[in-house]
Amino acid sequence: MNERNQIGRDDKSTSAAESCPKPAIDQPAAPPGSLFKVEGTELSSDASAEPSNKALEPAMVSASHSADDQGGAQANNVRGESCGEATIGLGMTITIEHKHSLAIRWMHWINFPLLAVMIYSGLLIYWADSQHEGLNAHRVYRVGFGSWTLFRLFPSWFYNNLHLKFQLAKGLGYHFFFMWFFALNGMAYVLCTIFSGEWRELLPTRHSLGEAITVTLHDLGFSKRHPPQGKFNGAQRIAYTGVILMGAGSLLTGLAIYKPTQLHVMTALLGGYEMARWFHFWLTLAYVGFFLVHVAQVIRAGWNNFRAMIVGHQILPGERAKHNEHSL
Amino acid sequence: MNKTPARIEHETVAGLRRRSRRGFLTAAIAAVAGAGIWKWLNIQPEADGLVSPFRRAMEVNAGIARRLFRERALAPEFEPSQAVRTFRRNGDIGLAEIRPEDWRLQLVGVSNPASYAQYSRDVSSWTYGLNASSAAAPDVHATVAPKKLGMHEEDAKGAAVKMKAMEMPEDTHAAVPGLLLTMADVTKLPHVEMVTEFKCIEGWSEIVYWGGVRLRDFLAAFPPQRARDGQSASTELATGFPKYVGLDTPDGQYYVGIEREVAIHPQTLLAYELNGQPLTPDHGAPLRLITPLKYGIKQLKQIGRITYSNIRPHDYWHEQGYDYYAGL
Repeated sequence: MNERNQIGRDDKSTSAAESCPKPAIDQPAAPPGSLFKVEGTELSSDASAEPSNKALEPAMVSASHSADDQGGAQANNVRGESCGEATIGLGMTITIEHKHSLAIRWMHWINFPLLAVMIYSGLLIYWADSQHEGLNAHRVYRVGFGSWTLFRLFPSWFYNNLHLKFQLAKGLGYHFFFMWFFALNGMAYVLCTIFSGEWRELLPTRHSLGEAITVTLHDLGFSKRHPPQGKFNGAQRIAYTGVILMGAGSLLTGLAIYKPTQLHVMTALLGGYEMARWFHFWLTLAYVGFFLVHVAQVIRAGWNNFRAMIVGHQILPGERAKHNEHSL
Repeated sequence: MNKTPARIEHETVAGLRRRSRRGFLTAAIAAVAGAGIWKWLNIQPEADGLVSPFRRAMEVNAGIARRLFRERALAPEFEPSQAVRTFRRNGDIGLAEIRPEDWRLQLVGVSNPASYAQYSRDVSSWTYGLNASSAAAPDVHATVAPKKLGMHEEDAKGAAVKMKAMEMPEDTHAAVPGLLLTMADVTKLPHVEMVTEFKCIEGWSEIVYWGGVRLRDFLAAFPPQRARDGQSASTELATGFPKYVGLDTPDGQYYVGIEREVAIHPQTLLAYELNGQPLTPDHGAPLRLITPLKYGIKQLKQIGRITYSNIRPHDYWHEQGYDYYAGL
C-alpha cells in the first residue's frame, strides 16, 4: 500500500557531454524541485506505463525506462548527470538531485582564485594612490559626508599586515594578466547559462523582490515564514544576477580606467576618470560583501548544499524535495 | 529485477558517495594544480623587473592596444578654468636647477645635422650649469641611485626634495653628433595650448593647462634622418620616420621612449608653460613632454636630449617593472 518504489533519472543526461549545464528542472510550468513519482511495487512494470505522462516533465524519467537490470540507481553511478530517488516503506523519500552542472561548478571555482588575485593585485595598485594620507588625501576613497570624513580606506595597519606596500608594478603585472581569465571565465559563465536555459532559474522574476524580503526576514530571525524554494529563491536570484552585473561593471569601469584616452567616451559616460575609479573600487568592496554573505549562507545551508557545488548532486529527503533548504 | 526499497536507497546513496569521492578528488587535484600554476608563474625569471609571464602579458596587451587604437583618439580637452591652480609634483628623478641660459636641447638623429647652424660634433659634451643653491652640495648626491616609486612615501611625510647634481653617464670618448638647440629654437614653432587630464600610474589625475609646441611641429622643423632609400615623395611625416623618440634628462638619470604614433599625435607637446607661466624646476623647466596618450611616467620633465631612433630606447620605469607602452 504504502510501498512506493521509484527511481527518477534525468534522461537528458544520457548525452552527458557536460559541456554546458543542463538544468535538471528547467520547466517554468512545473514547480522546480518537483519529482515525478511512480506508484507501485515493481519498478520496471510501473515505469513502462509512464512515458506518455513524462512529456510534461521531460527532465525526469523513470530509471527503468532504460530497463537495464542494473537498476536506475546503478545507472546513476555510471552517468555523471542524473537524478535518483528512492521512496521507502515509511513514506520517506530520498532524492538525489542534480543541482549544478560540471561547467557551472568549474567556472564557479575558477572564479574564486581569479577574483581573489584580482582583488589582491587591485590592492597593490590602490595602495600607490591611497598612501598619501598627509599630502594628497583622497577626495573620493573615503567614507564621510561633505567635507567630514569618518575614515579613509585603508588604514596603514591594513597595508602593513597584508604586505601590500611598494608593489605597484607587480600589482599592475598581475592585474593585466589575470584580467583576461577573469573576463573570459565570466563571459563563459553567462553564455553557458544562456544556452542551457539556466538563466530562467537565475534571473529575478516579478516575485523575486518580495520573496527576497521574506527570505531575508526569515534568515535574520525576524520571521518564521519561508517562501517555497525552487532551485534558487528570490534572494538568491537577485544576488546571483547582481554579482554577474557587478562583474560586467568591473570590466567596463576597468576598461574606462585602463584606456581613458582611447575609450574616453566610455570614461565620460561613467562620469570621468575619477568616477570610473570610484565605481571600480566600490564594486570590489561589494564583491567582498557578497562573498561574506555567500559564505555565511553556505555555512548555514550545510554540507549537502556545499557538496552540490563540488559534486553536482544533493540529497533531498522526500518532504523537502519541494522545499529545498535555502542556500545563498 | 525486484529490488527492495531499502536496496534502492542504499544504491542511490552509494552512488552519491562514489560521485562525491570522485568530485572531491577532482577538486583537490584542481586546487593543488591551481596553487602550482600560481607558484610556477611567480618563480619564472624576471624580465626588466617583472616576472616574465606578466612581462609578456604586458607586451601582448600593448600590442593589442596599439593595433586596435593606433593612437587615433583625441583626449578630451577642458576649459582653462577647470585646470588645477597648483599641479601636483610627484617625482624629481633627473631634475636639477639648471641655469636657464645654460640649458640646451640635444637633438640626435636629425637629418643632415651638419647643415644646421646649431650643429655640434658632440652634443654630449655640453655642460649644464647649475644654480648656486642646488650646486651647494653636489658631492652628497652625486652618486644618488635611481629611486624606486617608494620614494613617494617620503614625499608624503613632507621630506624636502633635493635636486641632484649633474652626471652625464655617456662615455665621454664617444662623440654624439647632433644639434644643440636653445629655447628660442623651440619657441619659434607655433605655440599651442591644451587643457587635458594628466594621469599618474599611481592612480591620481589632475586637469592641467599646458602651453608649448607640438612635437610633430618640432619633428617637421628638425626632420629625422630618413631610411637610406627614403626618397619618398610623400610629405607625410610618418613616412620613413623612425619608430621611436627617446627623451633623456640632462643628467641622463631619467629616460623614456615613445612610439612614432605618439610622437606625431597632435596632443603630444613639448611644453614650456603651466597655467600660462613658464615651467618651474620641479615641473621640469624649461621643457618637458606632455601627452594624454601616456601615463605621467612617460611624460619626461626637463628634457636634455631628444633622440630619433629605430631601436626602442631604454626606459626608466620599464626597467623597474612597469609597462613600456604605458599607454592610455
